[in-house]
Amino acid sequence: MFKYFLKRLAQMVVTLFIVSILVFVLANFIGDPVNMLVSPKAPPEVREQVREELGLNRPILEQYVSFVSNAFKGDFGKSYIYKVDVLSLIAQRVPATLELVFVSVVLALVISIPLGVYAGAFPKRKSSTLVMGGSILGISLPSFFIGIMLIYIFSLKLHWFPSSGRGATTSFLGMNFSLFAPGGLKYIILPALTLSVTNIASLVRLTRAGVMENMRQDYIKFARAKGVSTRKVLFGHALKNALIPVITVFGMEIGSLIAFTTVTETIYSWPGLGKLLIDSINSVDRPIIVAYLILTTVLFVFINFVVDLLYTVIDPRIEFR
Amino acid sequence: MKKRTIALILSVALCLSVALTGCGAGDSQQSNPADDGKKSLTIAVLNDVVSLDPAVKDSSAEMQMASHLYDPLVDYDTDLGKKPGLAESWTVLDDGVTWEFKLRQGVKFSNGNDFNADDVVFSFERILNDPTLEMGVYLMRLQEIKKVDDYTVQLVTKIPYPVFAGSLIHIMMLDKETCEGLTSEEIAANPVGTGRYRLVEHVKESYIKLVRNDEYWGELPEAETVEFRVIANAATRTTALINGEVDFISNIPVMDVERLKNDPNVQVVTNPSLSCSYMGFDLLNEHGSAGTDDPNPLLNVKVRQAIYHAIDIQTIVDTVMNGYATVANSYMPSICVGYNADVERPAYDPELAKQLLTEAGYPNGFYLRIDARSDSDMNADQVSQAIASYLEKVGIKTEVNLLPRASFYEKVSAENLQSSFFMAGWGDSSGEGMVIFNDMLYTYDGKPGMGEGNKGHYSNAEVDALLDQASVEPDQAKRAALVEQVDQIARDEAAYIPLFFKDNIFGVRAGIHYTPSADDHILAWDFTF
Amino acid sequence: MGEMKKMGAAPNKSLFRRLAESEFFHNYKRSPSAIIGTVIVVLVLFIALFGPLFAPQNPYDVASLSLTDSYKPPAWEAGGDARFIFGTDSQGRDIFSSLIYGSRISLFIGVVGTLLACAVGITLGLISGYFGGRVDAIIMRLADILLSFPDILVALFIMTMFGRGVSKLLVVFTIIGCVTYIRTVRAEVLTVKQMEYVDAARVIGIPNILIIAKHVLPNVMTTVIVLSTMKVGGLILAEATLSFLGVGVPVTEPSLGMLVKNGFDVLFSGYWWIAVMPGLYIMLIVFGINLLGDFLRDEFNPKLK
Repeated sequence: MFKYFLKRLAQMVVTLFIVSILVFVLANFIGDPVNMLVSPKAPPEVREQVREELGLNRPILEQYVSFVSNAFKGDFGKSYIYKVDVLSLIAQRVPATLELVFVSVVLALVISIPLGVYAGAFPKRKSSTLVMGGSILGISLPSFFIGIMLIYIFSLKLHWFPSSGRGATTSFLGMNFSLFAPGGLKYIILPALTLSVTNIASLVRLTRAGVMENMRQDYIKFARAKGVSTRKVLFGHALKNALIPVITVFGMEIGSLIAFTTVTETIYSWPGLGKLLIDSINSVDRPIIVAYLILTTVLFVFINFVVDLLYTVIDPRIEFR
Repeated sequence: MKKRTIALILSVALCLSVALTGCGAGDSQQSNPADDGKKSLTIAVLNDVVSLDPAVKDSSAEMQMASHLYDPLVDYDTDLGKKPGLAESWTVLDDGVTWEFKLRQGVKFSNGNDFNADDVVFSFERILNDPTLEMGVYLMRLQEIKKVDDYTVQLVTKIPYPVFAGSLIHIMMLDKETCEGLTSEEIAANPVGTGRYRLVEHVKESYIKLVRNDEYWGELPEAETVEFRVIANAATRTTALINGEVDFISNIPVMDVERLKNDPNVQVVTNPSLSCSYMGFDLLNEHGSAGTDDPNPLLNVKVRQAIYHAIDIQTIVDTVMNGYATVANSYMPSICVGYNADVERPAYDPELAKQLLTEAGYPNGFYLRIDARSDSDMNADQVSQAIASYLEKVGIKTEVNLLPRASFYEKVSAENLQSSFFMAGWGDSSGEGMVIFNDMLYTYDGKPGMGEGNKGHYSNAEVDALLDQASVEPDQAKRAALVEQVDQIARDEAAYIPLFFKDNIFGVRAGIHYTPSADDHILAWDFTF
Repeated sequence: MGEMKKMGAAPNKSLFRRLAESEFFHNYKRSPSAIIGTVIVVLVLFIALFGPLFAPQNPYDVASLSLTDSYKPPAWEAGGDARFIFGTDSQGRDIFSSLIYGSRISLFIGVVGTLLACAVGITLGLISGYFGGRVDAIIMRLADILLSFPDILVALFIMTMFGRGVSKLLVVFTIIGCVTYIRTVRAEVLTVKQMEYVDAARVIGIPNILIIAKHVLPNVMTTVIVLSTMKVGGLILAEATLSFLGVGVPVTEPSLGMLVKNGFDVLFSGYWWIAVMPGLYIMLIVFGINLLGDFLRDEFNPKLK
């Protein structure tokens, strides 16, 4: 077991190393950052000076080494555009993305589990077919289109919600969240809904499948024979067992959520991590792009590592090499 | 009872959403500008300033903010004229290069220190000694600065330059006692100026709050507190204005204007801007029309004239810009010295264009690539596609290549031109055609100060000579005549194709009156309540 | 039941008859979603292949555009023009024609991307499973690394580095998409490797990997078909998303996603048809594919549910 742990740890390190090289080397090929920093009117000497200051004239290997050692200290340099420390800039944006993901997850769970349970318990009913049809529709929609339709209907036509931006924020645990600020909630509903639609669709299907499969099991039949009400059967037994694969998949979906926030935040101009990434890509703000890539890599590799370990703990049937 | 559970959940959700919209609507009043008796102004801006050190960046957002906190020696009058700022008067001495400025007395900085000649010398020398301060661009012709007495300074230029006073409008005066020895970041963190407003708070990427300096030496603006709020997205800005969360927005997309005009709470104010959108030609390379090895067709003046005649710029302005632009016949905006409203812009004439192409030896046209910015605020992506359509109609096979800002300026740079035909913009607030042409038409050879914007490397010795003469010509009318000549030569040779000056489109809350400033900056003292 | 009756029939029926009488077809006929899915897919393919023949305009022919036709609303709204059923965009391009031409690009990327991912994935899976050892370890490690990241993020980063372009998109999709195939094929190879008849064939001297392929492929075919169907839909969506973010296809070859992006900028001003029409069409295409894919999966591999 311990050997396995070490092996996975080593793999994690190797992965990070490879990705860091890739990221760093490839990042050197996007545009020339000097153009972003100086006005087009600047004479060549000023440009040279700026290149020197940024360290762009040193050999790539040297730049890489200092990059890695700095990264360990949490220093990813200063953003070319915003001129502030990259890590603090990213940290500043985290609350916005976090609360968006949080509300989206809550929405997804609240909507999809009851629907899935219903469709699973009564698979033959017309309403269940509707739910399932709707869920296929849900996964067929590109998330940006969902966002557009929601904005169009609920903001432009009905004027229920604002079409973009984030509401006023209040401080909570030292970070700025808009959830608790008055009027803040109305800004978060549409983006959170957009983010959750695809998840709702797949969760509904998963829950339904899980419930259906479990309903067929013998122990359910025995419980019913005992006289336990269908409701208790459903929520007490079937749901619990159905939820295991749901939770597993859901855990992996969190990763995609973070990826999809890029699109949602772009549409709604939600000032979170996703928008920061897209803006940085468009304005060739290298330090941010590089930091972002490294951080997400670390995050995902770490998550997978933990999940793998948990698997071996939860299910001893799983073999590990 | 599953149905009941579901029904329960649904109804709870419904109640929640109703409650949310309800309290949301009620809460929008809370984010309105304060009604505590003070006249306050909330202005939405596209981006935050990079630094509150007025010498760091040569760009609108920073210069605009600097004007609120600091003062220059010379300030703008109406229509880009010049009037006294912190300098009460100035004259040129007989040698033609020494400018003597008499400073205003009794002016205090926000920390109580007196303003005097030491501060002026410090402010200028600081820029001269540090090439990373972008404002140095305006002091290229400055040789040295001398203090004569506590309220008199002399600035000596390298060669006689009659419009020198105008270059000083963007050079802000700092307090020597406070700022000497400090880094730029330290100066920016604690701005000490003589201006109409003082800094209250700056939260990066969020807002800047200012309060009026009631001891200001000049005319007090009406707004007592001002907030510049950063809202990067145009749609969000528009919504904020409609909801009453801000009092003023700018850079409204042209297609949004009609919608705003219909809102009773909003007034739409427009004025022609100083930003000229134009097409530049590669006049440097003998070969290589963007990717091919053929001889460069753009070197032939008939080809350039053909392109000029092929474009129906008025229709482009009417449709793509929704009418919110003025067709340009030159780099010069109409308020410039040297502008002649009577010149004839080459007309839209596709038949003539085809004829010219045939005469030039291209009866079947040729291949051309337009490089344009994908993210410009002058609708470059749409305009360039429209232009491509017109060029195709006269037989020129056109490809549109849209690039983000950084990549675009890599290709379209005077030092290393990699573009045959590009769409770019240029804005200049000097009010002098001569200054603009020095940047745009003067031969570029790497020296600072001349031809900085002449990316296509247009070069004409006669133009250079005329501009040299104009630079030292103190009489405005004579200067104007020289500039007009330059303008006509460039037009006859189709050195570039001026497209249009876009309109500034502003949205103002009803009940506030805004007078747009001639230099495209948004200034709190242009608002009255 | 039909099968039962024909138990004693001659074994050499034509493929078509066998198909027509199979349980598969029986279920197919009775599944409304499968039929709807097929109809949609066939329709979409038809439009993509033959659309240019009857499209009112070629929106890529810049010379044929007229600026004065710009921003016309759909024909049924006030101010609409009968020539342009779904309205026009900022350059005067007919939206209806743009849908036809745009779907060609979207479908091309989706289908070709899937085919490439499939081919590469199957090959790598065969190699990995057959050779085992170091080769296998490397391939599987790489696959794991790729799997640990969400697709869109990987695609986003790669496209950012290398710029836009259809060919680059195809490369990216192949890389991301082949992983599932690798795993499936490899698992099957490992099983087949153990079979006795393989040992027997080896004794005779036939090249090993071909033996493997011959026995592996038929077994994985149904899974591959199901995976591929779903993947086409997934790739179409992925390309649309990437183009919407600005890192997909270049502006000169607008796919449906790129069309939505163009329309998004003016959506808030009330010009809704430029973004909504292509979006609806994407949804239709992927919906049809998913319906079909769902049915196929239920039929071939209930375990995958």
